[in-house]
Amino acid sequence: MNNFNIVKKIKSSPVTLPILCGTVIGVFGVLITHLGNPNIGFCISCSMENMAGFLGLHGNIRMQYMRPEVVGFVLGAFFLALRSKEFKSKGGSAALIYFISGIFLIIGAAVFIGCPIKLVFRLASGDMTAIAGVFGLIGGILFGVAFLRNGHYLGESHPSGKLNGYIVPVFMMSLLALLFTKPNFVNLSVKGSGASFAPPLIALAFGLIIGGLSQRSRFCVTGAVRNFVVARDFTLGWGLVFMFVSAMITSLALGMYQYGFIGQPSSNPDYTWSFLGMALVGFGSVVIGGCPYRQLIKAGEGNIDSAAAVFGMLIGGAIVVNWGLAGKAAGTPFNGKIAVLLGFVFFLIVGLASRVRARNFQTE
Amino acid sequence: MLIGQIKVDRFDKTVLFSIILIIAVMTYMLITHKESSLEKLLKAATDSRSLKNTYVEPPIVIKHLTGIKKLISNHRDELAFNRLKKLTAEHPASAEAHRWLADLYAVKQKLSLSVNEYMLATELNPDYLDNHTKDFIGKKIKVIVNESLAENKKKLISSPGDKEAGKAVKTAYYMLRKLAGACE
Repeated sequence: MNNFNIVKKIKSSPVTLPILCGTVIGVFGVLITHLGNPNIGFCISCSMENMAGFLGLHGNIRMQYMRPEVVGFVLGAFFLALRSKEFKSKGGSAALIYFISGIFLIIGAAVFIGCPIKLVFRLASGDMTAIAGVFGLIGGILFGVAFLRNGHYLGESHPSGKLNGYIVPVFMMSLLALLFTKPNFVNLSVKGSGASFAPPLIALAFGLIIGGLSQRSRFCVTGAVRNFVVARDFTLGWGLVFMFVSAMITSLALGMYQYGFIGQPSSNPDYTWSFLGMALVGFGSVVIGGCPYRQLIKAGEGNIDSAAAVFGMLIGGAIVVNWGLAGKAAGTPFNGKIAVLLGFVFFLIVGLASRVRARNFQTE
Repeated sequence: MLIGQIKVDRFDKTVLFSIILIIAVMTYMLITHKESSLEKLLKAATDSRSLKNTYVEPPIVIKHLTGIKKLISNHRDELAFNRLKKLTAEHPASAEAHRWLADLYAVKQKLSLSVNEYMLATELNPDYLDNHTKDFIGKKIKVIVNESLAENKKKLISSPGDKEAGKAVKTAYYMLRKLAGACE
């Protein structure tokens, strides 16, 4: 009877799902790298760059692949949302702002060399150079929270025609079909990081499970920090903690843990720009209500604004490669620095223009 | 303060100031930016190639390299070394010339110089660090980079002001990051 009560308590606890989700992301992320994906864990920005190349949106022959795990994230969320009747085609409050924000989120992540999810994986595998990104992400989120506290609001989401909500899930299914049928207009790398991948069906299965769990738990890296800062709510934070711990244990178990600052994959010594790149991602994620990963999950739930962000992220992936914006082992390219600053200007203007002012600030 | 119909508060002013500051910084960066010599070399190398990201040696370099490789296989390293130095001076965008020169520097135990040449070679032709390609020589480079790092760290311990050793350590760290790979 006691055991039954404990199980019931665990099941009904609000932290159970985030913890489960975080743990699964941590384990699967390291496993997928062990199975062939590039270092290390899942990365939405790297995946978007690969997928843009796959569709011929850029010409870097080393970065052209369709990552099935990303399709899995969206479809996992989509199927679970349908099953739990949470799929709602809604949005339209600021679709173009979401689209451009998607571009800048990928630019910021590319300058840091990793999205917030990969930031956790980098740290969990011993990469101490990622610490600059942690401070940047937290700083950016705090900056975004200041806007929230001063009335930032992108507008109310409205119900829309159901078809709109199906666009991203169907688009992702089409990408998957293209990966398996390989028509001659898609590009697949035979060398470079694009040629490094885990078996597609396993990657897809991982993605589906994680996508489903993320839909149920509302897992979001920036959301976890934001919720803690705004409402002292650490529910999602537990997911983050367990993701970090499980990723660290898995990478230690698989011999992939390498502690230190030297010779780390996907790292560079430009700590200032790593900080600023991740600060841009943190700030932008608060402005549009979710990190790049969360935008994928929300798009799977039928959110049209997030769908616009996802397409922006895909275009962002192409822009990053075509214009050479991503951080490299040598440091941050000049174009990347300018793009990050431009991103800050964009989000500052959006934040300023979308303030809902208190009544006393309105025109008399 | 009123702008149009909106009363501007302290938060607005701070944000507006931040926007102006960032634009000023961007403008300053754009005006003062200069390409490094490595950036110029890579740009020239990319422009001279028929396909983006695909490494193609110019025919004249291939001709020279064929002769140099023969010299190396006949153990005439010194002559090959001199010809490679001349070739890299005339054709600085030739990855293969830098790669062979790096090998010969390693044979001579001039490890820092060898790492420098490997760095140029791998910048020009990333296939040298890509284990999906037949050109992959990453394992050999890693051994030489680690040896160079150890050697130069020792030098720095005995004479901390040694600028050459400091530079060599930095280059070795850079090469170790490149060898570790990235998602690019």
